[in-house]
Amino acid sequence: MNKKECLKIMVRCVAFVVVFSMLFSNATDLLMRHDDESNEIHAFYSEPKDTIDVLYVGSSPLLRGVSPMVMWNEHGFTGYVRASALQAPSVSYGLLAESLKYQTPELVVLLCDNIFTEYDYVEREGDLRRGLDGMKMSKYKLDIIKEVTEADERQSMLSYAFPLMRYHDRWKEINLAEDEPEPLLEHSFKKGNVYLRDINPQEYPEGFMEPTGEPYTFDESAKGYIEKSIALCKEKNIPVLLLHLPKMSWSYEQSVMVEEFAAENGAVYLDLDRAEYRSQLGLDPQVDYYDQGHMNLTGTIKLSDWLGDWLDAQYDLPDHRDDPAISESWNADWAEYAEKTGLE
Amino acid sequence: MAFTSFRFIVFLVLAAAAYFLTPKRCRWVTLFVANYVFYFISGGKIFIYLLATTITTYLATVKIGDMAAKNKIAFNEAKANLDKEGKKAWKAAFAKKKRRILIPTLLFNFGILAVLKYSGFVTSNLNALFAKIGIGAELPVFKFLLPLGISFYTFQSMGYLIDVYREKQEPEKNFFKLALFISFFPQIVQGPISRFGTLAEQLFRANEFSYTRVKYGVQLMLWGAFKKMVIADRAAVLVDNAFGFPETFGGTYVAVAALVYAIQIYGDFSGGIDIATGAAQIFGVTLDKNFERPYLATSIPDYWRRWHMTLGAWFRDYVFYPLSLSKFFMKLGKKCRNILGNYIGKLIPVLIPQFIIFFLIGIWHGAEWKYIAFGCYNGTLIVLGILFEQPLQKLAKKLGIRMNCLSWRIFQVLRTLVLVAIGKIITRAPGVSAAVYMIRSMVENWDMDVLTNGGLLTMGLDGKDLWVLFLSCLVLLGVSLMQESGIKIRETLAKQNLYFRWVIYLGAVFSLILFGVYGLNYNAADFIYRGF
Amino acid sequence: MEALLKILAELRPDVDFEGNQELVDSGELDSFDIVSLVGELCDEYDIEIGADDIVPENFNSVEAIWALVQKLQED
Repeated sequence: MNKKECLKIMVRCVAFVVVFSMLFSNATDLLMRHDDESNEIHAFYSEPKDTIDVLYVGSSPLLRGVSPMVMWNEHGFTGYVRASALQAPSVSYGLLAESLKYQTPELVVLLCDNIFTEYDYVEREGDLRRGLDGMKMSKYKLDIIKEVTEADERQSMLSYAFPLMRYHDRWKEINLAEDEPEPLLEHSFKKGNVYLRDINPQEYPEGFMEPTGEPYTFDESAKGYIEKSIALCKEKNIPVLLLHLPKMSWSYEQSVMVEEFAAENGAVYLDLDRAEYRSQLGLDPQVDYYDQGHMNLTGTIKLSDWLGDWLDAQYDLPDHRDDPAISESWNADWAEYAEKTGLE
Repeated sequence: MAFTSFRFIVFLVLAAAAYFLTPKRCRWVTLFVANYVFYFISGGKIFIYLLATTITTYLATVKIGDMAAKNKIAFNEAKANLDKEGKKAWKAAFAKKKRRILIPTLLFNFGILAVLKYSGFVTSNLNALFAKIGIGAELPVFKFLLPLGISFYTFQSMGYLIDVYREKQEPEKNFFKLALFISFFPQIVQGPISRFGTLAEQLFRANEFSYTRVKYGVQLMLWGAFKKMVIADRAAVLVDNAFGFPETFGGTYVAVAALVYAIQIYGDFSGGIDIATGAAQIFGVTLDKNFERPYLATSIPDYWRRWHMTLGAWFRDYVFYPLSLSKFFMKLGKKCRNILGNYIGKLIPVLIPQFIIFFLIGIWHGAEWKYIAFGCYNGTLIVLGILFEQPLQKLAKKLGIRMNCLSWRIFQVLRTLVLVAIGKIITRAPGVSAAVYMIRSMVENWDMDVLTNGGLLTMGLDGKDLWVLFLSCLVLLGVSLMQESGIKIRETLAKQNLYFRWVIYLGAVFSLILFGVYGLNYNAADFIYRGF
Repeated sequence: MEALLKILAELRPDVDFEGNQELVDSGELDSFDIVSLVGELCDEYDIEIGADDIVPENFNSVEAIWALVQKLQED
């Protein structure tokens, strides 16, 4: 084989790989399940470096209950929620560690109700994918996948690295004539706040948040990941707030345990189910809840309104409204958010 | 390590890279190391068995080789003084000497295979027998872990041993080279069963890298993966369902299931062989052909010539000929000719060994009664076929049926396919009685409505999957017919223009990715033939 | 040679033996034919043909079969 021929073959091989990759990524966009969570987690990457002041990581109460946009409008500090339904503690840690490569926030807020529950990787594949499919490939993502595939041998590394390998069967489900390839969301005006509009009146259970003496225990693995998360932030000199959002199934004992845990680890704990905050928040169980553990849109706005005040007072967060580098895009996003939510 | 796993692809790429980067002198060493690494990571902690076979084969062949060399010198010296009878006697005496090495080695190696594969079957059946006739004793039933590819490497190494014994093959003096021949990783899992004479030299020499060859190899692997992942693994869903509930799926469903199972097992086995052959081709090694469009066969013997060809050839050369040419059968044939007449008498030395072979092939498939029944079924068909060949031809002539035309050929192919599919029911059914039940219900409850009233959709595959299965089978049929008429697919494809080629390549890759059955919800059926 | 051709013609009247160089390789003679043929040859020429003589090269053409017979007669 002479040199010229060799070169020709190499060029062809490269071209083939390029065409293949394009088609592969198109097929992925076409067949992948598109969750709001994956989209919001993915849109995080488009935020310019070091422009996010508050980073929120954790499960669905954050996703439904905290709106960085409301806080921007009132106080001028930025925020982003990287939350997904039933987020595994390992995923939360990975998301946090990865986010800190892109942003240096003034404050990290972790939702850690899941410190009490053992995460079942075998049963929770859908929730894992909601958290992972929007994440770019990184060392952190690989670590999570490794933990998942070790716990559940039916799941493969490859299917997380290339979601098409997981969703390839969906050619049966989709309408090839109508559905078009839909890439993951590039930019979000919601900043991770996937609000829900439905109103489902709730009632506090009898004796809510009163001591009962019922024993609770931390799940060791979950606790380990939250400790690791706090330690990582400490290392970077970022304060950590452990947050609990309103939830009808919470208890006094759990609240106290997390408070002690936070103190031991040098983090602040804010429990919005404590009587003092409940009265300040003024949530109406008849109108502000989507279900017993999640806010709806009106609840989100009320809660974010109050939380914004509280965070601003506690942490002296910057106001970027006069900084065109940031405010231009955030104001535009606010306009869209306000229009969609009917705030203005 | 399944052939369609990502790990296998990675292993193959690494092994090929290592092979072509090694200096030419040592390339065979790299290949040898790759084989043992493959065997080890495929769960071969029990590779002591492979080692035992390699060592005994090595010692026996080298010893026989030595003896043969010495015998030759001695014979040449003594030849002048020997008459014809003396020469004969000398030869017979030497053959006897060689057999003293050959027989124990054969017994040892087939013994391992028999103990590992069949001891559980034998002891559990003996126990059942004891219980029936009232003997209180119970033998312990052992279940052994079968070493990967044990049937295949045992047959391959024993074939080599017999070749050396017959002095058709010089023994390999280098132990590691012999070990390489017995353990070549693409074919150790499920064949084809190779001969030393055709394979060894290809493994020992330093093969050059060739872009065209690698390309052809990869194409063949893709085609094999298509047959396995798109066709066979999809068919498996329906087959498992239908054979799992024989009471639910009676009548016409059995016929559908048998046909789909025939497609499944062909796609699975020949697909695996194509992957093995393609992988070997990357290293510059051409493996023996193992399938030649078996379902286009015109008769049962023709089918067995086209299905798992290397196993058939092995049995023919090392069992059938020795048996049917043995003094016993030759004498028997002569006697029978006197009693039964020329036509049948001549057939006796062919028919009985043939029946024995099919019995053995049946057992080879697995240690269960149904495989024995399968062997007897095929043996009977072949024997009947031979016995009635001439009478039937006479009958056809009398009736004026033309036989050298396409319609007759199609009739023959369909007839053979039906007989073959019935055989497949026997092997796939949970047991012999279930098989009989299914075949009976197929004959008794025939109901064509099932094909049109949506009954097919109850068999485990939805409409879309059935369409994919149907269309991919059409592709398979089209390719088979092209090959049958002598078209070389890859060579023909290479002559087409670039755009057409790329459409075909990309179409193949993406049909695998999208329509292949793999991943979580499906039980990626391991190659059915692997444990054999 | 004459006798050999007669045996072959009786065995497979449908095959044209003369000039054919790949009787076995092309599949025209199958294993049953070979065994029948060997039986006939042994009777006709008083020789012994063993399993190790059954290789395609010995049966691919009339000439090859004849050569085998002669070799075995000499032995």
